[in-house]
Amino acid sequence: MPTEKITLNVNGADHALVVRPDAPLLYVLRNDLELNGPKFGCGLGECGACSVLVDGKVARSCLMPVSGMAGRKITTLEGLGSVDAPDPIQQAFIENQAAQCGYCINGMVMATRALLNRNPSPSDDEIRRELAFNLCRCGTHMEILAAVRQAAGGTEQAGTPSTSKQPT
Amino acid sequence: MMDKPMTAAAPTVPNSRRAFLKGTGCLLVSFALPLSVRRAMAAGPAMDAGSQLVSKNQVDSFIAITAEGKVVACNGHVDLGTGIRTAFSQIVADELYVPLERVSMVLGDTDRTPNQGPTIASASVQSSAVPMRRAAAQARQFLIQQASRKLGIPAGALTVSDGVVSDGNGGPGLTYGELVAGEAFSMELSEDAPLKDPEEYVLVGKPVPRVDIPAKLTGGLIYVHDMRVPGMLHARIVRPPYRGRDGGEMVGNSFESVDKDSVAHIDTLIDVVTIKDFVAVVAEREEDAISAARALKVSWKTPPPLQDLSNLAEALRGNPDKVRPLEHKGDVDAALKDVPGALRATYVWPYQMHGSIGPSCGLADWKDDLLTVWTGSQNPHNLHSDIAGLLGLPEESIRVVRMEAAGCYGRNCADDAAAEAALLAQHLGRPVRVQLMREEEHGWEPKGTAQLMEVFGGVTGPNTLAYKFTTRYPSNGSPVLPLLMLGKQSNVPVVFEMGDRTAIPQYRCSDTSIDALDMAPMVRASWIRGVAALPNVFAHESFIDELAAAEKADPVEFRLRFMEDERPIALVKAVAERAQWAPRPAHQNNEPKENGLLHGRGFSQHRYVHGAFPGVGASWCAWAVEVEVDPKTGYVRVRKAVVGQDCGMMINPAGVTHQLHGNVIQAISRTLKESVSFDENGVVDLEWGAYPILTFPEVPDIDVVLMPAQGNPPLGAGESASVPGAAAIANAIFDATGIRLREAPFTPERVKAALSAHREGET
Repeated sequence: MPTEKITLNVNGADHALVVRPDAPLLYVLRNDLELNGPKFGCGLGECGACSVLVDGKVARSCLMPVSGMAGRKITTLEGLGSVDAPDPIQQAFIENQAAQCGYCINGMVMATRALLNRNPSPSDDEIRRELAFNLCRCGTHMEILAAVRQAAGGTEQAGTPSTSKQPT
Repeated sequence: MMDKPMTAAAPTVPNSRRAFLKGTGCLLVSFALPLSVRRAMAAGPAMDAGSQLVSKNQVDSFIAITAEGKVVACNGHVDLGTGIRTAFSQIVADELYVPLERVSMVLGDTDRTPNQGPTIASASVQSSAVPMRRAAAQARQFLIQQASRKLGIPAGALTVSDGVVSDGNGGPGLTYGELVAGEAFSMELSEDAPLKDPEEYVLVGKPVPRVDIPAKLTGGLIYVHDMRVPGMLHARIVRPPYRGRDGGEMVGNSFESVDKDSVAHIDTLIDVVTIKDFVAVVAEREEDAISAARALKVSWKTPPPLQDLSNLAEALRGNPDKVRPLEHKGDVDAALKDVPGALRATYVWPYQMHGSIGPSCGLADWKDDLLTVWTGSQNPHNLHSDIAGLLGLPEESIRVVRMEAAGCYGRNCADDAAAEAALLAQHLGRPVRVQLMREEEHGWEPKGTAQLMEVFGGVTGPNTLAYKFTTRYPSNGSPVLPLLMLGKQSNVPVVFEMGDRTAIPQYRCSDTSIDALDMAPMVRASWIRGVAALPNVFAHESFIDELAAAEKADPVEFRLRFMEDERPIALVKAVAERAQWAPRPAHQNNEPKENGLLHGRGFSQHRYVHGAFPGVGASWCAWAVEVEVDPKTGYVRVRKAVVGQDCGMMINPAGVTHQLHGNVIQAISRTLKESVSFDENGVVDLEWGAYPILTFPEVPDIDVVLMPAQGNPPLGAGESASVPGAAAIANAIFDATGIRLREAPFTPERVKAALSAHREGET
């Protein structure tokens, strides 16, 4: 398939690229923009490791053709925060030691970001349902749940939703 | 100046290692692994197979102090996502009286770290950390002696704090950097270097945050999957049709032809590489490599049909075996002749996947006549030798660098991907990245093998059993795929003697007959968490429950009758107490609750014994679980698991707790949900829909009981916690329903079928 010019807005910056329009967004993020956050897990939308936010909603980048991404705001794990200035969710995951191998953790954080964007104080059931299709093989579920609860609780306590950094 | 002792002693050390030492090392402490850990190949993964570029005679492993006073510690074991890098750092920092952040660890780099065997069996703290700690202690002792000489103060009057040696009374002090600057030292490790008193530990034993986690949460460069080099090409492998089989005449001999025109339309295609059964496409862009792999027309011979694996017990009994006696005492048959409650039972464990969330990846690059291979292998030194053999190159011209990868829990395709990348990099003379697709990892990862355990046993006295046990474990080390595809390694499967792990029951026996029936794999199979021990303990701990039920005894009290060692007895009591276990026989008056669900509880305990027989004991572990069973659907849910472990001293208690959680969840997943299906070609389950694992809504409450160390040395933690899980759940299902499930997984279909057969039997 012939390549096309496309402009992608990723983590607040525009990138002009020449790529196959049917190329999955994941490979463009990883290979052209050299982002490590979104991971290749299955290429089938089953595991969630590749998750990004598109206009503030969680999406599986391994399945999304890059052609549909023009004009939309894409946020990756890197766009949430950094080691020095982490997003409250990243901070909660770090404090709860919510990663073993950590390969799935990008998806867990991005799914949580999207959940808290629309429901700042989810119940335990709502958290579990939201993450039901994000697979973790190390069995870090307990720590991840604790991190999400903390991130949600922090939002509640502060009274200022973490939307101060909320990517849209 | 470090070159001198190193080059004189070990002329084969490659340039990069010398550069590394030059840049960092001014003090080296070497040590030799105790001979007792060296194993024969047949006993399992050889502990010292693989490359040995970091000479054991001179510098087996070492501590280096830089001129800035930083500590570089090297270990041949790797961090599989378990927090070993942090635990090792704690050990070294504590022993050298420096802050944690001043220690950096180099793990599993064939140029820089000694070959300490594969990172398996959760044995890193128990085995490979011990000599490293000794090296650190000796380094400290040496530094104090240096300071004594330079300051003119007796060594006994000097103290160390924060990497500074001084008299502790405000007198002049010397930093480690000042003490080693300008001079090189190398010494053999002394067996009796005085270790820091555990009472004085400030880092070891504390729940220190893992050093790797912040970068993992923010997209740092940690994983081999994220490694990029300039000009890197993307490859995809086109696998032969015998999916997940590595034994038999067809292996390496099935390729017929390839139609390269079928991929001529791919824009950035660089090459189609075919060498016997190794077929790869290489492109500049990853999506093009994927498209090419899908489009490439390859003609293969039809593989001979795989034997029918739908009835595993039958297949395992039919697989040729060699009896290897493990323990024979008295005469079990005679002892049980007149015992009315003697039982016979057969237990079956299914084929299972390691199920790494990230399919394996490897990257290889030629530069200045040195091939560097980045890999997520758990055994980089062994992989190093494999790659040297595959490429026909001396080990000195290859460097294998271990990076983190998705958790592997045993042998996955990490080595295969790295070797394939190396092969392609050599072929093309350019850097090549090989990324397996999901269906390749599912199809080709060496499976955790199916296993068959047969038990005949009974009570022969007030506190003795007679016990006959056989176990069939058709699994080996899984040769690296390209070696097989190219015909460089025999396609006749090797028999590994690994079925013995925890085959000896841990109850007092008057008579025993314990045999491993060693056999070759039926499909590609290698170690997975708990190795043979998990299925063996499924049998032991189900069987002891069956005996308890036959005597209408409480399962915990019944076990305690036959237990001898204080530590597991204390652990069993502690776990029972935490679970509020009230003594009663199993399956007594169990009526459905109002919601129609049956509730049950189950207990199980064992110590994981691994390594070549008779093996080494890791932690003791005990489980008490609560399950609910829906009799209408057969759906089993674990509601709560109380899991206790006695692992002696804990380097990082938070890390141990996290590892316990992980092992418990994975063990529940394997027990309730997981088995691999096969057709006549091979593996059928090629994505997560066909091979589901436990999800968030299904995760139970987990309550962890960690026994006090009481001065006991550290034992392997984590993996031990997987081992008793399956039996605890089977025992709880029996308590809830009165049905005894002897074949895992306990899927709704299987439970429902057993329940209806049970009801028919009653009527």
